[in-house]
Amino acid sequence: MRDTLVLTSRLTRMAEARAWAATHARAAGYDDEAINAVGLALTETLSNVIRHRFHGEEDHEIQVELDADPRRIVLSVHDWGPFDPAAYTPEDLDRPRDGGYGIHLIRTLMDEIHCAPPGAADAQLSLVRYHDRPPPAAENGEAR
Amino acid sequence: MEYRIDHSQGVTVMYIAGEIDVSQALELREVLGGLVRDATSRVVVDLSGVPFVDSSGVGILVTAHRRAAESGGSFAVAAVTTPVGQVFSMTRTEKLLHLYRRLIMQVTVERAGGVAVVAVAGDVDAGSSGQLRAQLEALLGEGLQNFVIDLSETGFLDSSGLATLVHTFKRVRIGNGDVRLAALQPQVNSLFALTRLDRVFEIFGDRASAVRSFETVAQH
Repeated sequence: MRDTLVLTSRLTRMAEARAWAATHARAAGYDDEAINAVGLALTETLSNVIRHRFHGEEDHEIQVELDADPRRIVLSVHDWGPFDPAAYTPEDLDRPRDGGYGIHLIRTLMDEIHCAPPGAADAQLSLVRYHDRPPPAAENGEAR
Repeated sequence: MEYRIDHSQGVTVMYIAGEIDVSQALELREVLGGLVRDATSRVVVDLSGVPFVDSSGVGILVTAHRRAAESGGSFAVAAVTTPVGQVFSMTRTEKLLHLYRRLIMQVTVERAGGVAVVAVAGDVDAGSSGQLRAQLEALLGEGLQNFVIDLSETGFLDSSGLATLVHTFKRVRIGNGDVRLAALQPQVNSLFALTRLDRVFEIFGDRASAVRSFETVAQH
């Protein structure tokens, strides 16, 4: 099941985008945990696009594609921008911070992150979450 | 039953107020039939103003959901009140209809002794967390230092919601106050674990225990 949603760059529209993604993910057989994870990753992605790429301007269009099958869910957001979340170094989570959790959450909740073309101003961000998730990689500073 | 329909950003939201029983069923079926048409239809029914629904109402929502699924569109039900949620639960349509508690966040504040009890209902994301932050700031401005945040009605929280809570936490720590959390839903609870903020905030199973924890400290 593949679908496209076009929404304007308003933070208040993100709840509807979540509802849209949830409906498709549920129809493809995903459970609450997966649906919430995809909704959260989508929300973090959209709010990054709205706040950082469009600087809060509300009259831009954002195109989101969702491709859900029993094996995996792929979310693609156009006009993400040059920043590659896969290359992001997580900050020290043991110190509570007023912000900066968004990218960490996207990386934790999704199994693959692709930013293409790399570094382009209009790069598209694609996020993949598998139905059967691979075991978590030993990273993010678990070792002290 | 009264309703209002808002078309914006490619999503159609039908806000319904009043009871839905068999006498309104025909009208509801016609209206939803017009909204759920094809693969481009994205419909959310907001039931925040509906205190009662009977089996005919449930049946119509399920039919609309099925039609949307068949045509490739989407259909969701949002802002379900407790009694209506019970009907969905009893008819096992809760999962099918994909219920969202609220599209619009609501914050209510009570004061218990010197503790501000802030109950948040609905999704907290970057579109709504500013409102929560403003209300917390107003309470800080009154000199309140001890907060219980009741998240029992919050099924979704994003990084901006976390940032709002951390910000408040840091502010009150200066004066030896605290922000304690109560009644986290599983998905929200796991978010605190993922960000290790479960080590920062004291988290209680229910609101009353969180409020009592401040009383215990005060007696020492």
